[in-house]
Amino acid sequence: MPKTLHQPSGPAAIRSKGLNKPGRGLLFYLYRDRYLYLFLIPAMSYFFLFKFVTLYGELIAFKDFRLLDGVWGSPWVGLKHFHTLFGSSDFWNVLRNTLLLNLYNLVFAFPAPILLALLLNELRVNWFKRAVQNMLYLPFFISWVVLAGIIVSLLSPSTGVVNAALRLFGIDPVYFMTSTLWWPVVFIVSTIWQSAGWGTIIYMAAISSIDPGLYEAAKIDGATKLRQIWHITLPGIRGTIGVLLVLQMGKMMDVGFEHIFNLQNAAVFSVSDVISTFVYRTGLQNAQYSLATAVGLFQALIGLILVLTVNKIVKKLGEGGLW
Amino acid sequence: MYRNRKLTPALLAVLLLGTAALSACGNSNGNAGTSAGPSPAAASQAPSADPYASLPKEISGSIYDRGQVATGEGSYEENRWTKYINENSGVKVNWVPIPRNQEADKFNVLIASDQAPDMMTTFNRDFIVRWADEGAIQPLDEYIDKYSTSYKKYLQEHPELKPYLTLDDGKIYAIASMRPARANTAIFIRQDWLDKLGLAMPTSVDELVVVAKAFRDNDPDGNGAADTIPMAMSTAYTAITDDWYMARSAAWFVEDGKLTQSFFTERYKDALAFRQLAYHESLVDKEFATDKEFSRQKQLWTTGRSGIYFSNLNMDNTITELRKNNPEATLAAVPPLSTKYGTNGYEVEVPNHLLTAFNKNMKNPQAAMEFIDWMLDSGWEPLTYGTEGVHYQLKDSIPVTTDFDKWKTEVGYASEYRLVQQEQQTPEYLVTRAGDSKDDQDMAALKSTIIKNSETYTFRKDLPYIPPVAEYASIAGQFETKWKEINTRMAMSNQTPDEAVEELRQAWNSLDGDSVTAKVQAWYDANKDKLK
Amino acid sequence: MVNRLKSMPLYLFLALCAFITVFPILNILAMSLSSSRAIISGEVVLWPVEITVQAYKQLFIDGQLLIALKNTVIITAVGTVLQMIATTLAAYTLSKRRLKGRQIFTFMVMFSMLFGTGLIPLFLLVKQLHLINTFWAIWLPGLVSAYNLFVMKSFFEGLPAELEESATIDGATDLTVFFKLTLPLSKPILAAISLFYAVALWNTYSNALYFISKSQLLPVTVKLYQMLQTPIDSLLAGGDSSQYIQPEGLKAAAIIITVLPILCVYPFLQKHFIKGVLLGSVKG
Repeated sequence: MPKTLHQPSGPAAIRSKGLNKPGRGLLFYLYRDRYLYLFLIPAMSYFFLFKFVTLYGELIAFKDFRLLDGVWGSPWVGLKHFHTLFGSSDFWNVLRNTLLLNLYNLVFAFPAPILLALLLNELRVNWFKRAVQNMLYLPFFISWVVLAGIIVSLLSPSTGVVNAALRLFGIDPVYFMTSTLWWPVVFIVSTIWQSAGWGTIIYMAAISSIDPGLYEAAKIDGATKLRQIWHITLPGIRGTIGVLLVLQMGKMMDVGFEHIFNLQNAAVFSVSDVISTFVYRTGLQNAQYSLATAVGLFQALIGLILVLTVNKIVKKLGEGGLW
Repeated sequence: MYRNRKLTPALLAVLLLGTAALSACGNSNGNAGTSAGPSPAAASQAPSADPYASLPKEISGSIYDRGQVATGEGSYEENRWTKYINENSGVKVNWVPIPRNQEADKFNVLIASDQAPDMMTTFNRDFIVRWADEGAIQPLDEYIDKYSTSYKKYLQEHPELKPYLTLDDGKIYAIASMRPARANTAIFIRQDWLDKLGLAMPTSVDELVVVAKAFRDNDPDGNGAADTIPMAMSTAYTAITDDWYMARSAAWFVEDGKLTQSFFTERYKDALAFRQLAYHESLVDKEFATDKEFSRQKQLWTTGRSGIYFSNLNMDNTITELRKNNPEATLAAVPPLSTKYGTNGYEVEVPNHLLTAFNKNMKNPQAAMEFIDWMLDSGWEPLTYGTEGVHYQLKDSIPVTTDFDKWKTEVGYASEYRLVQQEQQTPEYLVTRAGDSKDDQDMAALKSTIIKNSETYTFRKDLPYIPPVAEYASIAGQFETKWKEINTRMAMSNQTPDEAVEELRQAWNSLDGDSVTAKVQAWYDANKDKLK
Repeated sequence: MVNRLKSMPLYLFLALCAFITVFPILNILAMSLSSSRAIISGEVVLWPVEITVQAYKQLFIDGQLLIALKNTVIITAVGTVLQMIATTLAAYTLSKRRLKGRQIFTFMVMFSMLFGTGLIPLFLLVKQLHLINTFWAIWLPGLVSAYNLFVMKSFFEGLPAELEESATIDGATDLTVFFKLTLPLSKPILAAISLFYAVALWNTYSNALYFISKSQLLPVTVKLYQMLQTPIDSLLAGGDSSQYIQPEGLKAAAIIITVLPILCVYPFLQKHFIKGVLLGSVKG
């Protein structure tokens, strides 16, 4: 039974109808899919203009950029900035933090919305379900400047609610925000707090597109709730999970700037300084554009490798992947 | 398999388009570069005719946005004072607000995107050095010479300003006038608390610690709870505690003729030790590390939970708030405190006030110079005092504020527009100006004491300004994050000062600090005589 | 009945999750309505103590905040529409496997996701397109989020292919299929993605800070950030000072004001993605 439930979705069918006969010229396809190509124009002009045209700026990673001379006029310096980068212990620390925090994210924060969505899907009392969902979404509407302020006051050793609760259990107050041990935990929990509820939206949308008939059939077969989740719901959203996973991998080198920036403080720089904050400091604040660009380039290359790899794996597992 | 052949044309098309656009972009960029070229050249080419006479007298200028323009006053771009400037100076000025806390980002973006205003004004001399280095601003000697009368004269009368306006190539890159008052940091103490507990005003750091401990233990506010956190911080806390020991973080000191970063002097260890002691003895707020904007600190002070405030000359304008919560509060300024190294004064600022640089692409430097002259001659006065009869009355030719609240709302923010001014805040002047408001009078008295102190005690500052050495500038930012981190961690832990300094040393070495030190030393040796 | 009992722990657990999630925000709401005395002494938890709306009154003395709110509403409303048009059209197209060049386009999008636009070229481009000091400087540089595009594309790929097939056989063009068939079926994802965009726009900060220098055009986030950074002296100075409000109370009120509007819009979109609109219509 479960085997037949999971069908590869649609487009295979179309191809088998012979719409892509060999031997036709480009013009034929341009004409046949003229509306589709038209559809692409707004988005592609955006990508072209803002993402590809601007790529020439990456050149300054290999130059000593000076504003007066512009991107083209500045002198070439080869790999100088990369040498500076790889030679600085700061950079390795920043790289380690970036990867570690992302790894934690992947392990703890990535599955959270999936779990939540599965649980929410089991709720049968509609008003309750709706109310819970709305409450879970709430933090996502609030920017990190504000959320970080809230977190700091919640975790305050003297006036914070969390430490007040700890005291009830006879535990001494902990200054979470300045502890290099606790700070990553705070980071992960705050990630989950802010976005897990919101993340369920996509999974809920995916779940809602699963044929209810499948559940009916499973029920008749006497499948338990858990078995239904395992054999119907999860396979139904596998594709979505795959796509989001690949996208998450693309962000492996990139921890949200505003999140970190607002949450970090001088006491925990050693565990909280990441590539994005490093780039902000070198590039925007100290105007060392070449160095900042070199970091960005390195970041992009690693990200590219990760995405390509994971996308391959996801496809091997039988899902669509990104492309 | 089906994609191989058919996709090549599409791919090619995309690539072609890409290169076309890239080259197009390159062209436009190149143009920007060349078109920028002629303007300074043109200025020097045509000395005879006035090249700017036919141009409209319109310039743009940056203005610090501190969020102080209140309701009904308008915005930083448009308010009664911008109107006043446009109507009276003969030059129309378009103001571009720069968020005070983010001036580095904002200026960098404006300059990088080629939309910087004609006049860029900052307190940070480092920016002037960087902008000149990037070619974003231009030398002003010729403009001052040709188009200015008042400022030219002012500069001759105040030759001490010149080194601060001049860069390594010997040219003037910024316009500035003298600071109204050079005193900067200050410590305020609750005199009523001292009196109540029968304590004397501390004269040494050790005595200050004794007083702070008494505040902590003896319930000076009489609320029956041991909730007093004796010392409240602001940005000035680290600076003041460093200065006691003549070891301001990141400043250069001349030790036996050798330039040394403060961190590597013996004295710095004492500053570290003091901050650690203050933390462990609960003399400061234990949660200072997460109070990044010092708002909690300010609140401790204004609500009367702290009795010693590490602040600045203006006490962050907290006196009114404090009095609202504690009407009986009386305040005193703590005099310079002695340590085993002697008594260092509180920080004395550089002589120059706001630095204004001219954009390399500015259209009408003549109009800008005329504006500066006007501001220096007469424009600054209303921007400081307001309108006679409305905000002040003249008494012995000193404008006395009549309605402090009204002045604060309607004129308070205007001082920011004074790119140059001739206000001199002497003690007598401050006291006379204060008018009837008690808060205002008390504040003036406190300021007078602080200014007098700053004149009697010397403040050790071995280099007048940050050495304009590119190598140092490029690591200073990174090192700052490092030393702040080590400082904060050290204060909160049981690390010894020696260990902390060792950590600082490693961080400095990993940035190749010693070769930077050598470069700074070379600069110092070459410029020693000019710096005196 | 047995079922009901068995699922009790589930209900309790989710209720707890929900409570923990909203607690901090309720805390802020309570603070915004409390007296400063109560805030300082840490008495405010979930319910306002010594209720007062003074903080809100003082905030609105500053007309700038209202202007900023209006700007943010425009930025969000128009921006979301623009972004949705560009994203939906592209996502739909890229979900069609028969499309020539699909893989290249998709790869381009993915590639762009990894390479953050360099600061200098972005600044220059925005300037050359004359977007400085207009809302376009906020809308255009973030017109399409690759992330949202991919999410949407994978949704479209999941739609039953038979639908389009039968329509095509009936002679429908891509236009008809897209507007008459696909879009109505995609309400859940459309609602979800527009919310994604709207929230991002609502919280837009950096681009506004960098590209907008006219205070009349600044969005509420920039204004709020300034308030959080510098104590709001201008606000404290203005108006009647008989009842003095602590900065903390003002901050709380400012936060609530910026969050409230998006919360009001949200339920209207929300009903679309809660229910499985989709399959009912497919099977019918």
